[in-house]
Amino acid sequence: MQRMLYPTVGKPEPARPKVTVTLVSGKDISGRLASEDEFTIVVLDPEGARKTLEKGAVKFKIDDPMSAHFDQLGKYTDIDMHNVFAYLDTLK
Amino acid sequence: MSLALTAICTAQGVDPKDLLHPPADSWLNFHGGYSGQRHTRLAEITPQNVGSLQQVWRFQTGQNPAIKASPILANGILYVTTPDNIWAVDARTAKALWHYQNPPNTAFHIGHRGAAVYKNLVYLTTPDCHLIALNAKDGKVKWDVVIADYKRGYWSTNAPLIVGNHVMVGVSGDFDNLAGQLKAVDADTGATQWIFYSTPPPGKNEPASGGATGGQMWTTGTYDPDLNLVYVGTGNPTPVLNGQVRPGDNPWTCSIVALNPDTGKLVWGFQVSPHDMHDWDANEVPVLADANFRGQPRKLLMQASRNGYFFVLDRTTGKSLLTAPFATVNWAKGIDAQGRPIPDPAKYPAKDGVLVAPNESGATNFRPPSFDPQTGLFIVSAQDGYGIYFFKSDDGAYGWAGADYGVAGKAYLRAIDYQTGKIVWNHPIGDGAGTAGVLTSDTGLTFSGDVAGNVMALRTSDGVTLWRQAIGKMNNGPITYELDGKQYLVVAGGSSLYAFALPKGKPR
Repeated sequence: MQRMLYPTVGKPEPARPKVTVTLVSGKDISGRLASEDEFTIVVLDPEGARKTLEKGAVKFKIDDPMSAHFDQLGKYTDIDMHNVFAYLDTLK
Repeated sequence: MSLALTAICTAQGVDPKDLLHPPADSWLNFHGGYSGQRHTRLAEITPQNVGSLQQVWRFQTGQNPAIKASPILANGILYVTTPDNIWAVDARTAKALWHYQNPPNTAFHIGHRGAAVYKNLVYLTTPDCHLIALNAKDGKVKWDVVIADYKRGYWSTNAPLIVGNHVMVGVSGDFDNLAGQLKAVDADTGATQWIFYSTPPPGKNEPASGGATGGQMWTTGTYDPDLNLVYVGTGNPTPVLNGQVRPGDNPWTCSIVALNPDTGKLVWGFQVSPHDMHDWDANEVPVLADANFRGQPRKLLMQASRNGYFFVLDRTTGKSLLTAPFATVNWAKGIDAQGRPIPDPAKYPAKDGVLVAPNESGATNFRPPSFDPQTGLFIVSAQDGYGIYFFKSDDGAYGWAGADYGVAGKAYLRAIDYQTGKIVWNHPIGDGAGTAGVLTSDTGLTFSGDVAGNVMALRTSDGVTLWRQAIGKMNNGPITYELDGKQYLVVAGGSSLYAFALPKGKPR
């Protein structure tokens, strides 16, 4: 149930958010988001190489499907939870 | 015990009056003062120059456990702890002066919050529930007393609170039938002076807790010398997730209690989570301030509690002035006439799982907040999070009595207007929950840390970041002091302490 509500773990491993970074030169780097804090963004390029970039020096756009999952947590009702649990119980 | 003495310092002792009015070159208890405001009047580091802060030294414990303690500074010596360990460190050079290590034991080693000082002694609690008084000069044991029986499930992480000659120490423990206890011992001898029980001790029926035990007082309280009252938060009731066997509100669990430090007698109590069902200890710092509240001068007590609500009380009487959520909450039906959230039974742990906000780690927790009297902002490391809570009576009705799982959370530094409870600014610090405490300054700075391991300085008025350094995960509250005319900021990252200061010759 935990993974159904917020699927950050499991097999297959959920995909990391997509990120597109535009450098000062105008060049774009696209890949998966390895990590992020207020100051830096770390991108895994298609070859798996890590690129750490200062946020203040680039433009970037993150497509994170998990954000919708988080927003949804505040909308589930107790009845929703019960129904999901009842469904999972039938899988036994 | 291992004792490594590498130098002799010339401690002059902490005058008890210093505890009432801490000098600029000190940080004498967990909070840096009795109010719990964690706010400094030191003014060398400002929003204009904070960007120039540089690391002055680093002290490494050489051990794996993270430093979760607020260091104590007295007479130029820092005292920093981890479970079973305390180091005396030269605050100018980071040179270790002595190290005391408690014998190995099987108690729970979850963390340690810090030491305390009084006269020429340093006080250390241990996981196996000893309180040890050490000579501040060389770390030799003066006395060692047992404060609870760790074999029954107690442990201690507590940074003691010292008022007069009373050393007040609390313990932790989530097993059934462990009464919540705060013990005062004589600072000179270790002799027990009194014990306050938040739930009934064995063989007693008072306080009338409805069958609950627990209510541990594992964090450091605050003190109002004018009222001669100590304020302490109490922890969750036990059994933890099953309320059926402990009907009623379960006082004084999940409460703020006001005690006379000379007698240990309860003067008043305010329960922030009546009949708690989610492990939401109310041990967060009860911060004291003398300030106007809606046009009237008041002696205030403020707590941002783990249950997601911000409480403002009149600390003379314990009466509520304000109750408002400061994080995502979905477990209460409203606020009662006493200012307490009204639990919604639909959010009690259930067989089919209940989605609850906040999650078990809480809307905040052990990490200390700060109150800035200049702006009237109460700044806390907060979390908007959700957890799933289960209870199945056929799996056992006692002990933890169920299970809970964190689902997701987002961490913020959050500034609360103490007169309205409204959020003035909200600074994201990462996914999950933050672990760093907060320090504010008269110059308009807020120091804390993010989830990624940065120590940061924000502008208090609007939460904008002005400086940061990557030091590793901060698990303690920042402290500050002045030595030789220079202001230091000291924080822990991982198992190291870092000191920052402005460079010499820099325009200030």
